Amino acid sequence: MSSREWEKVLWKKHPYPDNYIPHTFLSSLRKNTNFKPYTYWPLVLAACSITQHLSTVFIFLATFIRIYDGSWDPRYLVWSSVAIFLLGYVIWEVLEYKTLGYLVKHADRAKTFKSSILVFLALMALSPVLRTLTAATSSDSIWALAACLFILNVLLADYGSLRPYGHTRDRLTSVLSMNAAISSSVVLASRLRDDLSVFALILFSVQLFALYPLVRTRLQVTDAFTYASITIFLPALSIYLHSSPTNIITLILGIVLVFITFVAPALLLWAQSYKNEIRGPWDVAVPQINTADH
Amino acid sequence: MADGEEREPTSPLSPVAPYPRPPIQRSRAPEFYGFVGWISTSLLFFLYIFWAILPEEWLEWLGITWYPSREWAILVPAYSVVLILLTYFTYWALAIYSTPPFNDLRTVTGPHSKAHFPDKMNPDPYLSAASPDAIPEMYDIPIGLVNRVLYGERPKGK
Repeated sequence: MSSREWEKVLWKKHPYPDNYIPHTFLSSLRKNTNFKPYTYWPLVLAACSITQHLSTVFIFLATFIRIYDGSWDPRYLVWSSVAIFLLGYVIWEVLEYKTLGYLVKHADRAKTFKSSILVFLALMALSPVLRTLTAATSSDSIWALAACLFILNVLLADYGSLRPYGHTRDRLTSVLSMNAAISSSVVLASRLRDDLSVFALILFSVQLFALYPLVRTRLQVTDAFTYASITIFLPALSIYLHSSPTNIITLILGIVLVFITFVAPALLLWAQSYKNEIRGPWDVAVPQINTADH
Repeated sequence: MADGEEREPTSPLSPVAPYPRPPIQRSRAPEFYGFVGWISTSLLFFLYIFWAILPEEWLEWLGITWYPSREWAILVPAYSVVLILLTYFTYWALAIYSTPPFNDLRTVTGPHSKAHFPDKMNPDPYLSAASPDAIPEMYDIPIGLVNRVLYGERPKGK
């Protein structure tokens, strides 16, 4: 054709038409450059945190049902919450020692116990207020509100693991998620009859929705075996607690948990074969700013 | 911390960026969000279909004792389709509403039009556009001049 080779510059006069495309154009097309194939078992392990979170929600709901119909004494729940807290604190300290390599300072420990006692007393003082919080609202609205808040909690929860030496700053969504769970348990607790039940239920919800996620993010990075065994224990407990009231709920819960733990990772693996990410020199250049952050 | 040194940004002390460029490590979270969105929308679709078409006895057999009235299964899509049509109408109506009438002065000039005050150095800016290799300056041509060019001189009688 012409002696002059086509160049991708606008400022030169070409003998080519404006819409000319050289036939080497698609040779620089690259597909799936950053492709990293998933493997099944790590995905299952990552999905375990979702299973655990759902299980804690259902354990809480089962506990609420038991206290609501009076088959559980709230005093036992208070004592078991305290026992869970102490056990969880010991586990947390062991995990801190494992990840950071040094023991938690004595002053920090004292601070933790001081604030936990403060929360304990504040909840105890607030429980008469919380009991009458929704006295003017009908129970049906409370069930619907609690369901919506728990759905919000499950959708927004932070299922990631703790990155050692990384940022430990909470993201907004995980804070929102925790708030949704706590407010949901507050409105549920306001349906109960006496102050002690309200106190016990909210104490239990604080253990499950505010403190357990902290332990979970640390557990996730330490040991796959421990993590998997906890993931077997929590759903089993939630299914066991739900097995008596009605059978259909147990069935649905079992199906959902099995789906999330085992079927959803397989689906994700299958869906990855359809991944088709096209890159080429026509892409917008992405400035790399402060890459040390990522 | 050799990894950290590699990723350091260019500075007056080390002005050369590493080449070949290190691969961009992107978060994989969007993949999972997309996956969750895909799964949940398909699940919601089937739930919606079952809610809309299953007979009442079947739902009761499934253990569902309360569900929103199935009227809404028709009403919500119908309303949303009308809402989409309404957006076309609304934008059209807003455009017509904000258009000035033909005898409004805003159809001729406005606060953003470049005023036609002659430059002191170059008394007639319209003349400079007449030179053959000039890129004409942007001016609003006054409506009187436009009319003069288009319709000729004003009749003497009036």
